[in-house]
Amino acid sequence: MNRQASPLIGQPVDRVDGRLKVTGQARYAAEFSYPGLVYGVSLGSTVAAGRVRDIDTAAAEQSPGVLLVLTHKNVPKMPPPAPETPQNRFTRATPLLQDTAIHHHGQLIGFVVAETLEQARHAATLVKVSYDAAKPRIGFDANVKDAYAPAAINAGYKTDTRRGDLDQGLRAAAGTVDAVYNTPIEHHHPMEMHATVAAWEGDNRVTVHHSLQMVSDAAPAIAATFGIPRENVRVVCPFVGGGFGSKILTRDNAMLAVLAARLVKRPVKHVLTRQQMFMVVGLRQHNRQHMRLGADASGRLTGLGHDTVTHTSVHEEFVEQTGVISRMMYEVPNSQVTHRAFRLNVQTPKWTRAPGEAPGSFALESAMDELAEQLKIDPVELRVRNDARTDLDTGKPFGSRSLIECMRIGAEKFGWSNRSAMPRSRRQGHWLVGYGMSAASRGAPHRGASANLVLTRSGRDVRAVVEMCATDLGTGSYTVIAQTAAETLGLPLDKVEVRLGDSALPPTPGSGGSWGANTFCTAALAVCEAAKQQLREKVSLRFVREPSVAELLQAAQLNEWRASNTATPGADIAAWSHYAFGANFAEVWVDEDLGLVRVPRYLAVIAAGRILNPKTAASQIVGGIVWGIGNALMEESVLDERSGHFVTRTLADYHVPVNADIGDVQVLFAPETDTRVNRMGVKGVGEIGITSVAAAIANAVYNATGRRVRDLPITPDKLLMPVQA
Amino acid sequence: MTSLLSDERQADDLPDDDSNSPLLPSPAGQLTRRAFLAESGTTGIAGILASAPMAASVASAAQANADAAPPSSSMALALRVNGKPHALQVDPRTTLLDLLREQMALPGTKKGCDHGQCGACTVLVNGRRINSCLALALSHDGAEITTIEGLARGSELHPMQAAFIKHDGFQCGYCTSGQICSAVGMLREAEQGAPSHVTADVRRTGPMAPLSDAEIRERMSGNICRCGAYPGIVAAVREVSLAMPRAASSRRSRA
Amino acid sequence: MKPFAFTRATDADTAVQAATQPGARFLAGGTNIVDLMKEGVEAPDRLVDINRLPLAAIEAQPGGGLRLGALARNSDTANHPVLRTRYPLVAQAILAGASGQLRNAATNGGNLRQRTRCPYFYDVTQPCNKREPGTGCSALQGFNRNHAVLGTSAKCIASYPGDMAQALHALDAVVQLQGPSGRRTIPIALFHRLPGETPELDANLAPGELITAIDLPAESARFAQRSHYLKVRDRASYAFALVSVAAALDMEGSRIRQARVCLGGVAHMPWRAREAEALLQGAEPNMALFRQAAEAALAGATGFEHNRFKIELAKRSIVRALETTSRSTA
Repeated sequence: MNRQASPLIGQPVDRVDGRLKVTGQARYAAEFSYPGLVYGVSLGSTVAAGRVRDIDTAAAEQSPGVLLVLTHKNVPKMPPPAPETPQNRFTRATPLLQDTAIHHHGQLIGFVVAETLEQARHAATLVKVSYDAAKPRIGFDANVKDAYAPAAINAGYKTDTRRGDLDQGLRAAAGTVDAVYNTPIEHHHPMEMHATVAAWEGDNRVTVHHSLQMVSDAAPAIAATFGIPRENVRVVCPFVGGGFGSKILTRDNAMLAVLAARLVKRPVKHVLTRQQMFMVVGLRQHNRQHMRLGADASGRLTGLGHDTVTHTSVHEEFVEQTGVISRMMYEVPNSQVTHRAFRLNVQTPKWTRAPGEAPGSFALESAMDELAEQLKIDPVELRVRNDARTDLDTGKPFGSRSLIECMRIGAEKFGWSNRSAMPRSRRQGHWLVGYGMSAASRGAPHRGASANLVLTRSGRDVRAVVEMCATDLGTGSYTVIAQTAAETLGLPLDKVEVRLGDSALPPTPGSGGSWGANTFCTAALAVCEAAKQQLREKVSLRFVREPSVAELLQAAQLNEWRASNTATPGADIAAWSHYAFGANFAEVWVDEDLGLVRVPRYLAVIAAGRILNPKTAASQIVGGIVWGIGNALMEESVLDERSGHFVTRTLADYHVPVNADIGDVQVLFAPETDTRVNRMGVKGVGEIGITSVAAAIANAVYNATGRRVRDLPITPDKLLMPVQA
Repeated sequence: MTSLLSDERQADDLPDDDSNSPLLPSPAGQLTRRAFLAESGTTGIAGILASAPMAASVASAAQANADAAPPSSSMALALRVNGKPHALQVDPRTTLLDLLREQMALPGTKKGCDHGQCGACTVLVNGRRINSCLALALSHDGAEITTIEGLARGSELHPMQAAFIKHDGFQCGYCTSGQICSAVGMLREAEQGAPSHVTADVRRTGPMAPLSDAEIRERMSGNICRCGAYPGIVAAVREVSLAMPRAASSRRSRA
Repeated sequence: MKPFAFTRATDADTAVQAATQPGARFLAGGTNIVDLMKEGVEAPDRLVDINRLPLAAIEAQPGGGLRLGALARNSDTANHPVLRTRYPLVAQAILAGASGQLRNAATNGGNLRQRTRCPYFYDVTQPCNKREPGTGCSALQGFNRNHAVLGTSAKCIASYPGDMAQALHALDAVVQLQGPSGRRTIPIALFHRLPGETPELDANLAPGELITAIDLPAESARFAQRSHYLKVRDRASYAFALVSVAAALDMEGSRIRQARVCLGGVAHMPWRAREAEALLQGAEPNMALFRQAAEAALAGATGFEHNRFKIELAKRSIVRALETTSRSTA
């Protein structure tokens, strides 16, 4: 690294895209306009199972301004997609409206295109659909008996793992917990609804603006769907209004816009309604988790069982890896972690922020708290005593694990010693006050990515443009990439421009899985180093210290230089198990009479290796905490078992936290240096923030009231009914 | 109009008679500089409303035809947006939000739910913050609209915009336009002594003093942020709120 | 939305005339009707924009009352100095509802006219007797956590989601109307309806009738010293009530001369708890009395599968509101 230049990596610099965002100049997918743009509105099935019998489009077609009403009856024939493999999962074709089978309520069954948005919306209401409806499978309890063991679960994790003998371990325990925890269906609800603008040039070349976390995969998916060459598809998405896992796939809502644009020979804009956001872009499934914990009198775990049953759709399989946190979090010789799923006529669950850890940590860290209470051991101490240096799931040592430091720092800063272990000890007027804590972890993967660099010099003024097909969802990619490049090149930050979100740019795996920042920055580092190395070879001068790129260009007498490079994770990374860890501390006030819970104070201490930008990283953690507070206290999507539709159907029904729900939130980063996780020592912070937040709050509610709530969300009705004896 | 909200862009910004501005499709509907100066006795917002020939003519025509008129596919609408007058033809079903985004090339205002449940679409109408998604455009004939695009003065950011950057009051940025417009409108309400749900005693009228964090949070609760940037938002609003008296006297007016 | 005729009225007579056309609706702030039109629940043929009617004034009346113009915005009403000092309960109730942006657009008349509603009412693909009489009530056997526990009928169990009206009911407001047959007044208690056999009707208004003002009587200013609006909801703000209580006490020495208790979120309309008020009248305030009053208020309550908790929550909310109210100082 260039030590001469003023260090930028690690500085809390303001977001470089901040000005664009606060002035309304940042362009999101729906905001790219073309001459002749027309509007698409998609139609959703109003039954959850069965078939579409017929669709009468006559009235809609005659409605003013309508250009096209697309249904299974007039859609072009499209070949069925290749069978899904891990390689083509994101890039294979999405055939549209090729059959009439209905798998879930809201499934897209048609598309109306009109000159104006108002005309398209109205015409959509004129389409008459008749169904051969079948009785849908909706209820969790009614269908759980049909649970089966999936061949694998999300992200390639094993469905079942066993170590030692769980029953034996539990029998040997001095204290045990045997409890069931439920986390409900939740929805991502990014503020930006999924949006697409598709513009064709002739029949063979298309530009698509679509709100996506992973842009590089979208182009081949679109090419495959429409049978055109990959290089004829350009996907552009410079800004994403939140994704949280819902904007990973290029789904039928995007593809319908592309198809319609091809058919009407006009650019088409399609924006999902907020109501549709409940139905067609994924959700987090209801996880019912059976926890069994046992420990000896000193708190050392003797057995840990985490058995999850959940649902998937009738036509696809996605099973969240809810129990995997229990496989690696603590040192326990006897362990069983299993996953079972059954099929429902509900849309396929999909990746939702911290898949696995978010719901799984609620169960594990609540159960640990129950165990601590039973054994009369401080909750922090209990985790300390069960800390692990080796990931018992993989058998690999942790590359770095600073969980104990996080808990110690957090306990001290939070005033954990002021907590009374006896519930109902602190009262302030109508409020009972409690403290709760939890331990958190989230995988820290690293992936390969490519980048271009363009250097230009005009006299003494040198500028750099770093380009890669990465995305910024609010994650701060623009900023941390700029910091990395500026420091490496020895340029001021404002001389570095970052271009992202364009499939014409070098490919990256996009934003997801907490790999974004470390992957993109390593690619930026690699291309900047390559450029400097190339320039150095052109210069016969010797430098006494690391030269800046300006000096190199000058010495080489060049006004421009371009470089490309690909950063590939080293093979040695695989020798360790890589996780970020954290500790959560929550203070809650509970008004038991009215069932109200407030979280006036929250502290998270996170160890995520090198922090590229403490300002943006802290914001990511805070964002995760806000999600966790939502999960704990208010988020729940409710299905009507008769019709299979979500009764919670708008943002007035599905409550995410508002400003007044969030009190004083503090984030600290524990110092941690880790050269094994990746070259830059950076672990992702997009998801560790949400892990275990709900447990910390539920544990605090228990400390305040003596009431243990195991079914999220903790709404007033769950607190105000009399405690069962 | 107070410091944060007065608009100084007036007659000079209007197009000349013979301009071919694409925003003024029908010659009869153009609110040109000459027409404006001729018909308004005063400059500024009151002048626009008093003189608005478009609004008056539409209203009286509408009354006369009240019984007979079938739904018309478009009706005339006069608006001032970020200081610029516009004479438009709109489908009556068009909301102010869709008008801004789809017809006026002002996509800074965002659609987050389209049903008044998230606040992303917040704009200032005659200085007040409202959800533009539930405002039928025709209801606001003659109004003065300020959107996020109208807060900065060239390269000089509005203090609220600068504070949001400084305190990282956003992440993905999609709710940010609404947050900032809402915050600007909210501070004006507080300046006028408006109470909130968390105000201890609504009977006590008078200035709201510097807003507490609890007041800021409650008053900003109509703007949802799924990225959870609330602490940064509160810090930004707090900073601007504390600086307000100085801002009022020393800064140029803002819409 | 289907196309509609849009007309602007500048006086009440023209507005009323226009509203007698078939399929006509008034448009003021639009915060309820535009929402419903986008969902396809309301599909007027004609919108009569009444925003220019000169009905926005909030004026002290001779004799001590306060007239709230129907077109005054909710936020201006809540901020009005006379309202805040003489009828603070109304200010509190308004401020507990919606958001700053919505309160700036919503009018007093529109607030009173908002539909009693539930998610099944909104979803045009679901049976709903309120939206389409005779199709059934989806909530009875459906997800009814937010629904009513008082005054329900087999036809509809939706609960009233507003806030301001509870305060108006508690303070015996009088609604001024102008219609095709002329002007009339109606006590607020008779303005809203229970579902009964006609859940499609929320208010006792004739076609074309326009609210012109809401009068707060002088006598109700006696509650200014001791009143409180309590709202219990699933998050700290910007959410409908699970239960809300508008409570007010007029004290004479240590005794309650008169009490007012009106509940929200528990019935098709604001629910004036007269049994509770009767128990409180003449008594000395204490927690046991408050609990007795609360029991009386909910004695006739019927819960459904998901909302039985509301009965207990309503009782506790009444107790809490009365406790807070009795502790208020001048």
